[in-house]
Amino acid sequence: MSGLLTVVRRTVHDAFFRPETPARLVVLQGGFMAFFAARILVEPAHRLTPQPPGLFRPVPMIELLDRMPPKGVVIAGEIIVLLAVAAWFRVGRSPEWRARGRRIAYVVAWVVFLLLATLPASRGKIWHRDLLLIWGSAPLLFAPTDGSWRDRRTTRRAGFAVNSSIAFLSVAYFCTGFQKLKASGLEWIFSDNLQWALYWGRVRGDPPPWRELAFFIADRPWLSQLSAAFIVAFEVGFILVLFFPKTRPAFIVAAWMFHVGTYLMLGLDYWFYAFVVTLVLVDWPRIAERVRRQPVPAPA
Amino acid sequence: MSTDTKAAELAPNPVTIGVVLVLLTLLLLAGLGTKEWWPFTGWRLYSNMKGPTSGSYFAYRVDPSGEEHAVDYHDLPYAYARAPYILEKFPKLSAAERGGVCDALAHGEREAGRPVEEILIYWERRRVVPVGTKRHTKLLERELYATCGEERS
Repeated sequence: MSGLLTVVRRTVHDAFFRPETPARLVVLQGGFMAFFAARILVEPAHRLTPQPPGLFRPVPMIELLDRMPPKGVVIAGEIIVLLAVAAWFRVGRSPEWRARGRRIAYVVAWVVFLLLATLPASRGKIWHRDLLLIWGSAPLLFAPTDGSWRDRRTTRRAGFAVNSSIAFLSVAYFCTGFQKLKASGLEWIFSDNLQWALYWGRVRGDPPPWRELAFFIADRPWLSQLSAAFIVAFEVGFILVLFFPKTRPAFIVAAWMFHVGTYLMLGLDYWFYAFVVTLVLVDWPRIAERVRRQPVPAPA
Repeated sequence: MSTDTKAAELAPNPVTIGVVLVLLTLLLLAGLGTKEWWPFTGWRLYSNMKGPTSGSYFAYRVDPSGEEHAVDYHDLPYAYARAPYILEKFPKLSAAERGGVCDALAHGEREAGRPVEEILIYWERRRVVPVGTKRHTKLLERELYATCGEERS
């Protein structure tokens, strides 16, 4: 029994404190900053203004507001995030300012991005679309900011930040799968549930880009149930990436299959989930190193 | 620099560890307990079973001739895009909140150049009918639930 406890304790400890390179941490920080900017440019929150007060349902974080903030305020917030992102990349070139400058820029970008994300979330329905970006990037608020791309000595300090980000993603996906089983049980998989979900598509909004594929699967009960099993296995099983790094490539592929599939068949735009999973689970410096070491074929 | 100092620098700060683990625990508790304290959430994404029928509240605009037209949110600014989800909570809203929702929809329709005498809220149950590669819905039940925030029934 004590042997099992020791193994469990060591596995959990390794999951969070496995050393990583500061280079990988820098890629994560820069990647999340780029995603904040991209998210704001692709779907700016100021499009939500002006909004009649009757349609404003503030989330608890901003419940003191009785209406959507004015367009000017929202645009100011978006500009602050974009400037913070630009500053993060700019100060990285200066060893003197890198650590403090990047910390301030990252914290400002994250906090203002979170505040902007409360606005689409305050329209009467839970807004999940930004949450993986918010939670995946949250542990890096406290991470060291003095690393550089060239720094390849592994440290537990960088490792804790990278592994924590993976842990937040794991909890998010695990809970999404868990909620399916909690609300509907195994019937979510072994019934006509997904068939009808595919026939309905998005009840509100535009038709999905590839309804033919949705109907192809829905018309075949065995394929619908297989797809449902894949979804639940992917979401619940995502927790494995935290403890078993070798499973990560499989879950990156599965994440793309899942999110591209839900976009094509249901019209649900969760592209940033796939981007975040890829950013966080891939060891980019190691890949760069492998590519660099590839022998160049001799000219024929 | 001593070896101890160097090791301490390369280890995560205990306060950092504590804060991150508290946030992670809260995220897990909200996720397992289905709590909505955004950005902590219950992660309910398509978690309920789907079937062939579905009931929802729908808003209709009444023009001066008395004709009813379904409010088309694609024809309204993006700020209105999630108004249908507020209609789903219509029975739980106070009279003032219902009035606010109806006023907002009437305002949007008028701004788009469509005359509005009143806004009607219907509860409708529909069945999905896949035909070829198109999705049709068949109306099964329809009941007038409210008009501009005042419940009729």
